[in-house]
Amino acid sequence: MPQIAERRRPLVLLALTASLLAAGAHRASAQPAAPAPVPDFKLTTLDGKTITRDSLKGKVVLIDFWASWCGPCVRAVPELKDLSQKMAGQPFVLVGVSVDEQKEQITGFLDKFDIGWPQVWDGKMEFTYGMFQVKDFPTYVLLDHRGHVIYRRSGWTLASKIRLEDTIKTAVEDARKAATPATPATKTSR
Amino acid sequence: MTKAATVLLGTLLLAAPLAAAAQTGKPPVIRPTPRVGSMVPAFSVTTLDGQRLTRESLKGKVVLLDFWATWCIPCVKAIPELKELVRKTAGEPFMLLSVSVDEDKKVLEGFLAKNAVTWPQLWDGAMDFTGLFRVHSYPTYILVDHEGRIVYRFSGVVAGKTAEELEANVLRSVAAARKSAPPPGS
Repeated sequence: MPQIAERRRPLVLLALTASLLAAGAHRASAQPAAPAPVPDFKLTTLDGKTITRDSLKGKVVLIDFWASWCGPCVRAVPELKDLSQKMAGQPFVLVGVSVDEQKEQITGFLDKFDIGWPQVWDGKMEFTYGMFQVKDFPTYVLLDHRGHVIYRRSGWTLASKIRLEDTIKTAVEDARKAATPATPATKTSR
Repeated sequence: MTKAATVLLGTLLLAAPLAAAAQTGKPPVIRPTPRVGSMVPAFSVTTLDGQRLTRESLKGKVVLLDFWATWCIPCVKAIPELKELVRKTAGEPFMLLSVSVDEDKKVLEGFLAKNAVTWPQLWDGAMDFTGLFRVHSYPTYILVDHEGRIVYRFSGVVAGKTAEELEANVLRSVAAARKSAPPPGS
């Protein structure tokens, strides 16, 4: 028996290290940093509407930082469309923030791809970089119903899409719970 | 299995990575990642127009390294901003050095001629210089002060707010360089 133990020790150590690494990686990716409140902001959409942090309270907000010249941003459009249709009627808003240099570059694009969700033009990156330090595209930032950042990721892949959708579903659930006061006094620990 | 054999097996399992390292004859070289605050690693490169540049030859000058490629859209979009920066710093102890990772040197040369890009260019198709700085996304800008210290590093789109930030960092470093070395003849 001691012979076997001796032979196995390195393997066990390796396995242990691997599982610790895996746990660490899982924790790092599954648990975003402590929710941070977003400072107040005021945006004007292309169709002239005003969006502020407070006007969005109670809703889950997905901000899509993009540009019409950015390949992966454009590739994500059909799936974002799908998402916004799936979430219709829910406390959820998708807001596109484009950093194209010219406003005209997006208007043509929106028509061509029949994009219906609100769009903000931020050619000077005031909101994009000034407030969110976003400099890679696409970047997706998710705010919960309290206006806290609960998810942030750059790039668009199948894996990131699945995770984003899962996070949105949970957040929308939480938003709905928060909107309807629970009948028995329940304590939420979040 | 005999006791000796199992012990040997255990030893082999433990020693395999070490043995592999030993076979190459020298210990693996682990260079620190050049970060903001650290000194630029030593290098010797030749620009497209035949200028030889080393870490030492650039001392006294602020250098902005622009890691880019002609196929990288945000890199190309930044060119007007870079042209403006070059114009603003004319006559100052400043050098913009673009480092292209294009695979084909001809593609790079054609692009530069077509777009009237005149500042020093380094073709780094093998990514030797780029690797030295551990750059793996484009564009990446690394600002080196007159003493050879990295003072700013930025990857991403340069427009509006980010262009302002890059320019402010360059101008601040240039002012510091001027202060430390009074212009010749004064």
